[in-house]
Amino acid sequence: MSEFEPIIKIRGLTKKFKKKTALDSVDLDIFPGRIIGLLGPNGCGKSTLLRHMVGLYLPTNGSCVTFGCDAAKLGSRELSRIGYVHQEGELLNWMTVSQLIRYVSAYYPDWNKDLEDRYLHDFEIMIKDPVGSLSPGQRQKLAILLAVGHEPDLLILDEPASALDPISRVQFLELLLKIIQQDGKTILISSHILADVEKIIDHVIIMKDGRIIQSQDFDDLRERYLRVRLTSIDAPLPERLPFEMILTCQRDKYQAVLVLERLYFDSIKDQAETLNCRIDAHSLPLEDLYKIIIRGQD
Amino acid sequence: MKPVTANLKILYQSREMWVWYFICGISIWLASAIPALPKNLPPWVHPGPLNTVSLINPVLVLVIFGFAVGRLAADVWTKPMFFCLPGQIATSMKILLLMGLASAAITSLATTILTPWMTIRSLNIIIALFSFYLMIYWLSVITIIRFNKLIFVIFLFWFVFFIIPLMGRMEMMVFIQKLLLTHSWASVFVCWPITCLIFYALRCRYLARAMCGAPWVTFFVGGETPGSNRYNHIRQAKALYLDRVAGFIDYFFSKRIRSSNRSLILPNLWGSIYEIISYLSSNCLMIFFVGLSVFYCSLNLINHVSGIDLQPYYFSLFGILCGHTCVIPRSDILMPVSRRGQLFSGITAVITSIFIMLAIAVTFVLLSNILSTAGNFTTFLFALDAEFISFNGKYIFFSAIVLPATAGLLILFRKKSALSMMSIIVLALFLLASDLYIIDNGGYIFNMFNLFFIILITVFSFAFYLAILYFDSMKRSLC
Repeated sequence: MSEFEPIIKIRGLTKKFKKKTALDSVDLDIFPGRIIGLLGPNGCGKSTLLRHMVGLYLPTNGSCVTFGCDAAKLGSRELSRIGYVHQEGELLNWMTVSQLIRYVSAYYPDWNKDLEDRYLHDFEIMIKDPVGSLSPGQRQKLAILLAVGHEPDLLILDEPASALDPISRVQFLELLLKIIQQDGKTILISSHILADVEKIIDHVIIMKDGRIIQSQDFDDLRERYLRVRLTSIDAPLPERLPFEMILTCQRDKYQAVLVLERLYFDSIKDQAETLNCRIDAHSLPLEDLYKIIIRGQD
Repeated sequence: MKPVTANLKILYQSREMWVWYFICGISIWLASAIPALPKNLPPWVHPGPLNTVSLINPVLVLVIFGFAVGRLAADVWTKPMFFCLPGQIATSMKILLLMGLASAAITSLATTILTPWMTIRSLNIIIALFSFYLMIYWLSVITIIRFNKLIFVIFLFWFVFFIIPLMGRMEMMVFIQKLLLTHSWASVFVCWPITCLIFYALRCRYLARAMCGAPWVTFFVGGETPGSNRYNHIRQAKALYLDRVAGFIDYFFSKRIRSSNRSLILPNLWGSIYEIISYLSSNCLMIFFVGLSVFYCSLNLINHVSGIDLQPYYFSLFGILCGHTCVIPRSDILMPVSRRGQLFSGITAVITSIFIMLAIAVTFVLLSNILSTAGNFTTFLFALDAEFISFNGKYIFFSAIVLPATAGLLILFRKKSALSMMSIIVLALFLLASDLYIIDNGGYIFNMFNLFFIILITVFSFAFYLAILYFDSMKRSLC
C-alpha cells in the first residue's frame, strides 16, 4: 500500500442504535504516517467511528475499508497490524499482569519483548499484580502496552490517557512520538485532553452529532484563526468596536482580546491603527480552535 | 416519597423483574411438585395428617421468598445517601419483619391445614412450625444480604440439586419433622434466639453504613452494572492466586497459541480454553466448588443409593458446564482473531465438547458395568448399602440437548449474565420435569418414534446454537 493510498477509507458510514443515529453519513480517508486527533463533544460518535474501523461494530449503511479489506471481514493478518486501546476497556481481570501479557503476546509472532520490558519499567507496572486490582491509571497503561507491544502499523487510541497522571501522560506522549518516528506508522487518537493532543497531532478531525464537521491539517487550522490583543495607548477603547467578522471578544476599558479568521487580520490591523491601538497577534491553542469550531456549528 | 416506596417501583417497572416472577413461579410450582422425600413419617412420630406432609416444599418456598425480599432490601440500602436519611433502616426492617411474619404464618397454617386446630398439641405444632419457618426466612434474608456474591448465589442455586437428595439420604427432614412434632417447645426455644440474632445483626447501623453506596451485584436488573463489575474485579483480584498451577497453564497454552498462529481456528480455541482455565485456577473458591461437585457427581453416578436416580440431574449439570466452556470469552482487548475465526472456533468448541461428553458417558457406562459385577458394597460417604446403577442411555440426551442450548443462551445474553443463567435454569428444570418420559412408554414403533423425536429436539438445540453463534460472530457488534 503506497503512501498516497488511504489505509482507512470510509464512505457514507451510518450507524443507528435503535432510534438514535450515532454516525450520520461519514466520509473519511486516513493516510499512513499521520497522527490524527479525533475530537468532539461527549456522545458525538468518536468511539463508534473508531470501533467501525477495527470491525467491532457493523455499519447500518455505508462502508468502512481498513487495510484494503472490509472492516467487518478483517482477517487475523490485518488485525495483527492494528493496536487498539478501548475507552474504559475491560481486560481479563482474573489474570495477573504477566499472565495477560504472555497470553496476548502469544497471538503476535512479532511481539517485541524488549519494548514490553522497557514499558513495564517506565510505566512502573507490577507484573505479579492481578489485573483486577490495578488502579484505573495502571489499567490504562497496561492496555496501552498490550496495544503497542506488537508494533502495529495502525494504532487506534480511544481516550487512552484520561486516567493517567501528568508524568505518565508525558511518558505516553513520548511513546507515541517514538512510534510515529518509524516509517508508515499511523496513530489515531481520540481524547478530551487537548493540551496533550496538540503536542503530537498533525491532522485534526472534529465531530459533532455523528458528523465530521472539520477534517484538516493541524497547521492549516492553526493558520486559519488568530487571537488579537488590542491595547489602547492613550484613551479608552470606544464603547462599540468598529470591527466585523469577530468570532469572540473579551474586553475592558483599555484592552480587548479578539478571535478572528486570519484573512480579516489586515483590515483589523488598519482599523486598530486609526484607533491608536497597539496590536499583538498569536495563533490559538487547539482548545480554543475546538471551541470556535464547535460553537460555530451551534 | 420515601426511598423504600421509590425503590419498590422496581417490582413492576423493570422488565427483567417479569423474568424473575416467572422463575419464582416455576420454582414454587416445582417445589410443590417435588415428591415429599420422607413420604410417610414413622408411626411413632405423630398420628394424623401431618405424617404425610413434607416440610421440604414450604422451606423451599420460604428460601426463595427470603432471597427475593432480602435482595429488595439490599437494593434499597445500597443507594447513596440512604444511610443519612432518618428512619430508613427502621422502615426497611419493619417491611422485612412484616413480610417474614406474614409468610411464616401463611406457610405454617397451610402446612397444618388438615390438622384439627383446637387441640393443645396442634397449637404447639403450629407455633413450632411458625418459629421454624420464620427462622428459615431470616436465614435466607441474611444470606442474600451478607453474602453479596453472585457466584455464591449461583452455587447456592445449584447446590439445591445436591442438598435436597443429601437431606433425603440422611433423613434430615425426618429428623427435623420429628423434632418439630414431638419436641415442639424445644424447637421454638432453638429457633427464636437464632431469629432474634439475625434480626439484630441486620438492624445494626454499622451494616447499613457499610452497605450504603457499595457496589452491589444487582439481582433485579438481570444484567451486570458497572458497580457489580467493579465489585467482581475487586473480588477476583483478592482471590488467592495459585502460582505454580497458573505458571504451568500459562506456559502450556501460550505455546499452543504461538505454534498454531497460522490456523484460522486453533489460536482462538486454545485461547478460549486458556481463559476459562486461568479463570478457574485464579479462584480457590471456584476450584473447591467445582472439585466438590465433580467428586460428588462421580460418586453418585457410579452407584445408586436410597432409590433416588440422580442421573438426569448430573447429566443436565454436565451439559450446562460443558456449554459454558463452548462460549468464547470476549474482552475489550483487540485480538487478531477474525469474525470467521470466532465462528469456526465456536463450532469446533461444541463438537469437541460433545466428543468429550460422549467419552465420559461411555466411561461411566463401562465403569458401572464393571463395578456391578462386584456386587453391592458400602459407600464410605454415607455408610449405606449401595447398588451400582444400570446406565440409562437416554440421559446422554439430557447433556446433548442442554449443552448447545446453554452455549446459545450464554452467547445470546452475553452482557446479561443473570438473564442467561435464569434461562438455562428454566430450560434444565423443564427438561428434568419432562424426564424425557415418552421414550420409555409404548411399544417398539412408538419408542422408535419417540427416539426420533428426541433426536429432532437435539438437532434443534444444535441449530439454535449455530444460528445464535452465526448471528453473534458475523452480524452483531463485538463490544
